[in-house]
Amino acid sequence: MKYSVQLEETIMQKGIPGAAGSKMLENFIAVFDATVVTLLMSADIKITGRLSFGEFGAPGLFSDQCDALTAAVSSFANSSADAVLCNDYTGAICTEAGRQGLYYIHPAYGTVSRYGLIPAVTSIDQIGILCKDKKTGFEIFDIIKQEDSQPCVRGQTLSCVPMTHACPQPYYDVYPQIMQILCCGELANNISRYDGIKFGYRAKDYSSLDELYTKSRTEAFGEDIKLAALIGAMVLSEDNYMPYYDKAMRLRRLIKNSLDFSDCDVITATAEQTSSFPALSRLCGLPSLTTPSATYIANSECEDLLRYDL
Amino acid sequence: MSDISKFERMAMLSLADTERDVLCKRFDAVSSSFAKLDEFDTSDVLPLISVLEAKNIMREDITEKIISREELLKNAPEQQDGYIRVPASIDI
Amino acid sequence: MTYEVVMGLEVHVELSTNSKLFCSCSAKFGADANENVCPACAGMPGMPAVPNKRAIELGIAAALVTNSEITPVITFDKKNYFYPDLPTGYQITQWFSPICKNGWIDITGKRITLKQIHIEEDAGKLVHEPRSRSTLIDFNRTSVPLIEIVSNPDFETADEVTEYLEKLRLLLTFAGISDCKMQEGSMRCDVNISVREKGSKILGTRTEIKNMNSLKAITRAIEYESQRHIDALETGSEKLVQETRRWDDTIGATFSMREKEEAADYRYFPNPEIMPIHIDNLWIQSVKDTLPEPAHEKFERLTAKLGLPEYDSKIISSSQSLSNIFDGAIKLHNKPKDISNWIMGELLAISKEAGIPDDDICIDTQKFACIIKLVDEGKINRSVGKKVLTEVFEKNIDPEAYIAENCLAMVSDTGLLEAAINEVLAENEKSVLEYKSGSQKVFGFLVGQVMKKTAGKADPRSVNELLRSKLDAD
Repeated sequence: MKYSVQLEETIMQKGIPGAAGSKMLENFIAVFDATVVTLLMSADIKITGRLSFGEFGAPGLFSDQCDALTAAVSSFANSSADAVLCNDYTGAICTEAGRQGLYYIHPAYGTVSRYGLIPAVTSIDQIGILCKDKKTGFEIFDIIKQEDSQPCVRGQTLSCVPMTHACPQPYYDVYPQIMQILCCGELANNISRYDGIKFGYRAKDYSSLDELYTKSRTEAFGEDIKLAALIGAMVLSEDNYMPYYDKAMRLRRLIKNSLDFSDCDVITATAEQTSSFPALSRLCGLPSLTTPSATYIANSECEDLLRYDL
Repeated sequence: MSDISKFERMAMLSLADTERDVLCKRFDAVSSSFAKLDEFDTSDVLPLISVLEAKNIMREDITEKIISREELLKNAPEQQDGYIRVPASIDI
Repeated sequence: MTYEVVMGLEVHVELSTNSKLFCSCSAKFGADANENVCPACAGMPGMPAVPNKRAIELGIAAALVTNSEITPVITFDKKNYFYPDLPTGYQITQWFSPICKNGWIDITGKRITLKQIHIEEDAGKLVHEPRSRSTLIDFNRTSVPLIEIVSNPDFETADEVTEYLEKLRLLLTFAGISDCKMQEGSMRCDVNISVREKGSKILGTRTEIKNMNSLKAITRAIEYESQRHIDALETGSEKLVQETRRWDDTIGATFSMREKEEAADYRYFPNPEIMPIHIDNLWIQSVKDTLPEPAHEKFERLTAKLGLPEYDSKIISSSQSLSNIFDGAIKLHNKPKDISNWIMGELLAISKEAGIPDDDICIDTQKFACIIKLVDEGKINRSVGKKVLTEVFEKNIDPEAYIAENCLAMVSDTGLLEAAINEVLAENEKSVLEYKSGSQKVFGFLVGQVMKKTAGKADPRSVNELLRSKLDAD
C-alpha cells in the first residue's frame, strides 16, 4: 500500500527498544509486535519511525502546554509520513493536532486492539491516528481496527449539535479533576512493574534491594511521572480511596449516563470553547475526530459518522 | 506543605530534598482542587469500572508457549542459571 | 488462671488447571526456572489479563463443597505492593467481591464457619543465596491460580486445625479442585492465633504464623505460639505485638518477620481490564453436575443404604481411588458387601505389600469385578482369586485367560476331592489320631494338606465337609 506511518514509542515492535519516551524503557527490547504493527505490515504499510509525545505519552496530565508534544507533532507535520499511531489518553495530542492544522481520529474504546501497547491508563487507552487528511486517516483506521467493529447504520442526514446542548453541564467543571484522579491512579499502578529488576533501567549504585527499587525509579522517571505516581498513590490510599478514586468513578458514570444523543448524532465544540472537551470522549469511551477547526464526538455505535463531511 | 513521604514510600521513590520540594508544591496544587468533587452527590450510582458493557470474557484452559526463556531473560540486567538475580531482600 | 486459644486459618490452595490464571503459560509443577513464563506473568507491559474459565469454575466448585453463598457478579481487583516475587508490582485478587462467603466445614463435634473464599494469583519463587548475598527469582509460579479460604476464628486446638485441614484436603481433592500437596506447596496454611482468659469475650493480641510445611509443623507451631502468648500474659516477660511470625521447624520456634510493624496500604482498586463475571444458576448447576459425590455423603450411602460396616465405609469413602474402584466394580457385580470385603481384604493387602498408598491404587475395575464374580460363582476359590488379583494388579493380565492358561479352575468334583482326602489321611496317620483325641487345630492342617494336593484349587467348603465327615465317620 502507498502509506507510510510512524508509531508513538508506546507501541511495541519486536526487537526494537520500547522506550515509551522514558529513560526507564530506553533499552528495553520489546519481545513481541503490537497487533496494530502486525496489521500494518500485512497491509504493506511502511513503518518509518518512532516518536515520543512525552514520557508514557502523558503530556496534558497536569498542564495544557508541553514543548515535547508541540515539537513531536510539528516534526510529524514536516515529515513525509502520512500518519502517526498514538495513544492520546489525555486529549492533549488531538488538541495540539488541531492547533497545527492536522487531524486526529480517536476511536471508541475497544475498537483498536491494545495488545502490544505499553499501558498508561487502561480504562482510557486507545490507539488513534494523527494524520494530515481525514480520508487517509480513516483508510488507515480501517486497517488497524478489530474485525468485529460494527459499521454504523444510522440515517444519512447527520445532525451535529454544539456541546452545550448535549453535554452534561454540571460535571463539566470537574473534568480536569476526574481525569487527574483516574489517570494518576491507573498510571501509577501501570508503572509499578518498572522496578529495575527484570528489565529496563537499573541504577548503578545500590546497597540493598530497597535502594535498587527506589534509585532505579527515581533516576529513570521524569518529574511529571513522579508526580503522577505520588498523586496516584494518594488517591488510591485507604483514607482517600472513597472520597477521591471511587467518587471519580461514580462521577464518570453520571457523566456517561447523562450524555444525550437522542436528538443528535454528533456533538461538537471549537478549540476556543473548551480545552477539556476531548476529556468527555475519553471518560465515556466515545469516538472523536479533531479537525483544524473543531472537535466532534459521536455516539459509540456511530464512529463511521465522523467520516462524513460535518 | 503536605507530607508526601508516605506516598513517596508507596511509589518506591527516594526524592532528593530539592526535588521533593518542587513535587510537594505541585502535589498540593493538584490535590487541593480535588475538593471540588465534594459538591456532587454520587450516592445513587455505582462506580464505572469500564465503559464497555461486556461481561464473562474468559479464556479456555489451554496452554500456549509464547516466548522462550532465553528471549525473556535477554532484557534482565542480571541473571544466573536461568534465574533473575537481585541483591538479598531484607525480610526472610 | 486458665486460658483459651482462639485461632482462624487462611489456607491458600492451588487450583488444578492446565494454564495460569491470567495467561496461557503452563501451571504445571516442577519445570526449570523461568520455563513457564511469558511477557504478562514476567511483568512486561502490553499483554492483556484474561481470566481462565476453568479457574472460575473450580472456584464455583469450592463454593459448592464448602456450602458457601456464591457472589452473583464477581470482579477482580489490584493489590499494590513491591516485592521481587511480584513482577507487576500488584497482585490480581478479589478484594471487593470474593467468589463466595459464609460457608462451613464440619469436624468432630464442631462446625467451622468460613468468612469467605476468593480467587487470586500466586507469586513467584525466591531462592536465597547467602554466599553471594543475592536472591534468585523464578516466575514459574507467578499467576498460577489460587483460592484463599478464610475461616472465622472458630478453632481452639491444634487437633481441630489438623482435622479441618484433612477434611478440606479430602473435599478439594475429591472434587478435582486441587491436589492439595503441602510438600509441593499446592496447599499452604497460615494461622492467626490469640489467647485470652477462659470465658472472656475480648480477643487477645493476634499474631499470624507462616511457613509451616506439614500438618506436624502446624501442630508444633500452634503449641509453641500459644504457649508463648500464655507465658507473655502470665509473666509479662514479653510484650505481645500484632505481627507476622515465621515458624522455624528446625529450631522449633517462631520469629518476628518485621522489625517495625507497619500496616501496609495496599491501595486496592478494581481492575478495569477484566470484565465482570456473572455467575448464574445454570452455570452453577453445570458445575455441580460434574462434582463427584462428596466423601461424607458417600460414607452415609455406604453405611446407611448399602449396610457396609462403618470402618470399611470410612476407608473407602476417604480415598478417591478406592471410591472409584468401589463404584466401578458395583456396576459390574452388584454385591456391595462382597466388593467391600475384597477391597478391604485382598486389594489393600496386595497394595500394602507393594508399598502403594491408598490414593495411588490403580486397577482395572472390570477385571477386579470379574475376579470377584468368578469366586462368587464358584469357578475359582478365593485364594486363587487373590493370586489372580495380584497378577492383575502387577501386570494387568486378563483374569479369565490367566485362569485357563494355568488351569486354576476350582476343583469341586467329589470324586477327585475324596481321592485327595484319602491320600492325605493315609499320609498323616499321626494327625488323624490327634484329631480323634480331640484336637481341632489339626483339622486346619489336614485341610491345608488337601489344598496342597490339589495345587490350591480345591473348593474349600467341599473339602471341609468331606474331610469332616470322613474323619467323624471312622
